[in-house]
Amino acid sequence: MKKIRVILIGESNVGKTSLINLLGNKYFKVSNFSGTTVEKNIASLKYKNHEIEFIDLPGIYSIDEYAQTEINLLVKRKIQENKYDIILNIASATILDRNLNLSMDLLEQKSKLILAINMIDELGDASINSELLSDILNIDVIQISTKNSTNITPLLDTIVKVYSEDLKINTFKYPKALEQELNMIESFLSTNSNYLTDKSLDVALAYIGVKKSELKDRYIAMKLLEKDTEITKIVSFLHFYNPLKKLLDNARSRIYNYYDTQDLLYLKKELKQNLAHSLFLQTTENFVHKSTLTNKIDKLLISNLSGIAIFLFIMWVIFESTFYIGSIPMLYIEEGFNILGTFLGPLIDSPNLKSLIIGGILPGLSAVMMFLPNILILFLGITLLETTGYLTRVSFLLDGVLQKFGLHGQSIIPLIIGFGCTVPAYMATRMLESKKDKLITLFSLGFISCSAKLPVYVLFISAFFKPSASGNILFGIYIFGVLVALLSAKFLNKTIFKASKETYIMELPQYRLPSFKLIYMSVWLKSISYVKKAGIYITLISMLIWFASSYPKYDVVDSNTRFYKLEHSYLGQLGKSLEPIFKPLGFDWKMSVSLMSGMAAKEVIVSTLSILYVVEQNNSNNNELIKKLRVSIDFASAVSFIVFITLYLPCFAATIVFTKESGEIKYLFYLVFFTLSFSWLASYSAYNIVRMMT
Amino acid sequence: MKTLLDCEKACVVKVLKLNTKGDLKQRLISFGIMKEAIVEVLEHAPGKSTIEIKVGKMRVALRAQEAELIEVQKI
Repeated sequence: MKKIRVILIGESNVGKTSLINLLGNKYFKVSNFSGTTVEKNIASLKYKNHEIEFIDLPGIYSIDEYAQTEINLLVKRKIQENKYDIILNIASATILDRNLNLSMDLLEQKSKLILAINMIDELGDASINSELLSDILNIDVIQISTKNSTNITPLLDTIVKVYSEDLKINTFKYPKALEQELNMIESFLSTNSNYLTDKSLDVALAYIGVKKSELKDRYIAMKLLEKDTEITKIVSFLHFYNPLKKLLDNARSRIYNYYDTQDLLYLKKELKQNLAHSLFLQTTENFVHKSTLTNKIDKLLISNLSGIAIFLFIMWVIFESTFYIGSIPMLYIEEGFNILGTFLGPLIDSPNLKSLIIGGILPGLSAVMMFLPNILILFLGITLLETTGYLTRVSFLLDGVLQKFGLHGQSIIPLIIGFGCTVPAYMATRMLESKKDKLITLFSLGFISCSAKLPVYVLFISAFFKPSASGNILFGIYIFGVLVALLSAKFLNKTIFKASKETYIMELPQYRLPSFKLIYMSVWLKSISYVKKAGIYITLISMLIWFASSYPKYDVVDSNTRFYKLEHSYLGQLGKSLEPIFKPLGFDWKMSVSLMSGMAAKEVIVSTLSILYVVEQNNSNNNELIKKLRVSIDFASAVSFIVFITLYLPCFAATIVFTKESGEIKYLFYLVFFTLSFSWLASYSAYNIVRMMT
Repeated sequence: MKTLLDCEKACVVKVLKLNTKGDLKQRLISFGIMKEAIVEVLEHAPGKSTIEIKVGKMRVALRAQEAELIEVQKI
C-alpha cells in the first residue's frame, strides 16, 4: 500500500479544517486525530489501496517574498521541506476572486497541485467553470462542499490519480512585457547551461532550500531580475557574468519604464493579482454576492451602542447557561462517584490502597468530571460564536479599547473564555497571529478569575462580610482581577514585550450557519482533550496530597489524633516550612498549605481548608468551616488571602498548557516569578492597609 | 491629501496610493486594497478606532492607523 501525503493550503475560513474533520469522521475513527494537542491537524484514511494522509496547515494569504509573518514562514518552510506528495489548495467559492491569488503563488512551486473549490453550496445561481479553469492552469480543479459532503469521493480519486501521474509542467505566464524579458534571460542561461555544474551553487541552493534537480532557468532568471542578493552573488562568480549583467540591466530598465516601478516583487504581485482576477472573470458566471443579509446583521452587531449591548447580552447568556445548566448534572456526578466509592470500598482489602483510591483518586476524578458539563456548554457557546463569524465582529468592536492596554482585538476571546477555565483560554490564544500579542494575552490571563476560584471567594465572603454586601464584594473581586489583567498587559507592553506596533487587518467573513457535524466534532474533540489532560494531572495531584497528608503514620490515640497527624504529616511540615514566606501576609501554616494545594487545582483549596481546620471528620460541612475560619483568621488576613488567591499562579494543568503555548520554558519561569512576586506584594499591601484601617 | 480614515460611513472611494512598505503593504494588497481599487466604508467601531470596509466582495476590518496610510479620492 502506498502512502500519499497531502498538505492543505489555503486562506483562513475556507474550510481546510472542516475537510479534515469530515474525512476523519467519515472514513476513520476519532482517535486518529491529534488536532487538539498539536498545531497541525492530521487525518489519514485508506482509499483504493492507498493510505492518504491529510496535513492541515494554518491559513495564509500568500507565500511570496512579501509574506513574512510567523505563520506565513511556517507554511513556506513546510512547502520547501518537500515532505509531501501533493499540495491540495483549498479555495472558497464565495471569495474565489481573491483565493486564486494564492493559487497563483502555488503554481510557481514545483509540486503537484490540486485546486479544490469549497463551499459550492453557497454559490446560489452563480457557477464556476472548473474545466476551463483546469485547462488554463493545467492542474486538476474540483468543486466540493464540506458542509454537504459533495464530491468528496471524486476528490480522493483525483488525489490518487494525480499521485500516479508525472508532474505537469505549469503553463503559468506573466503578461508579455515581463514574460519577454524573462524568456530572453532564460534562453541565455540555457545556452550556458553548464553553469549548473559549478560547485559553489550547491551550498547556496541548500541555503535557500531549492534542490538542484528542480532548478529551472526560469527560476534563476526571475530571481536575477528581482535583484535577489543570493542568486546574484552566485552568478557573479560565473564566467559569463559580464554579458549577463548587461542583458539584465537592459531588461530591467525596459521593465521599469514599461510598468513605471522599480519594485519587481511588488510588480509580480500585482501582475499575479490581475491574472487571478481575469481568470476569475473568465471562468465564473452570475457571481453576485448575497451580502445584503450580512450587511444588515453587521449594521446591528457592530454599530456603536447596539453592538456592545448585544455582545454583553450574548456573553451573559453563555455564562448563565454554563454555570446554571452546567450545575444541574453536577450533583448527580458527585453522587455517582460517592456511590462508586461505597461500592468499591468493601472490595479492596488493603487499607492503604483503599484510602488511596477512596480518599485520593476518586475525589480527584470526581472534581474533574463535575466540571465537564460546564466545559461542554462553554465550548459549545464558544464554538458557535467562532463558526458563525461573530467573534471576528467582537474583536472588531473591542479592538480600540484593548489596544489602549497593549492587547489585540482578538485577545478578547481568550480573556472571555478565561472566566470559565484558564486551560482552554490559554489554548485560544493560538488565534493571535503575532507572538507578542499572544504572550501578553497569556500572561494577563492568569489574573482573570476562573470558575474554580468561585467556591473560595464564596466561602471567605460568607465568613467575613455582611450577607447584604456579599454580591457586590464578589463582583468587586472579579473586576479587580480584570483591572489587574489589563494593567499587567499595559505594563508588559511597555517593558518586556516592546515591539513595533502590530497591524490589524482582518477579513470579516460572511455569517454562516455551521453544520451540526462540525460543531459536534469540535466540541467532542475539545472535551476529550479536557478529560484526558485535567484527569491525569488532577488524579496525580490528589494522590500526592493524599499521600503527603497521610504520611508519615503516627499511632497516637487521643482526642486530637487527626489534628496531630495532619500537623506532623509531610503536608503539615511543608506548611510550617513555608511560614516565613507567608507570615508577613497574615497567613498561618494551614492557609499556606491550602495555597500550595491550590496550585494543583483551585477546587482543592476549599477541601484542603476544611480538612485542616475542621477536626471532627464526620461534621465537615461548610457552616462548621465558616465558624472555624472566623475564629482562627482575622479580617486583614482574610482580605489578604482573597487578594492572593485572585492573583497568584494558575492551576497546574493551566501552567502546563501555558508553557506549551508560550513555546519556551523560560516564560514559565517568568510566569512563576511575575505572578508570585506580584501577588505577594499586593497581599502584603492589602494586609497592612486593612490592619491600619481597623 | 485625503485618507481612508477621513471617509464617512457609506462613502465610496478609489485608492490612489499606499503610503507603506513591506509586510503591511503586502497584507493590504492581499486583501485587494491596492492602487485603483474601489473601496466602500461600511462601519466605524466605537471611537473610530477600527473601520469596516468593503473591497470587491469582501468585508475587511482595519485599524485607524492603517486606514490613515491609504490615500484615496472620492468618486
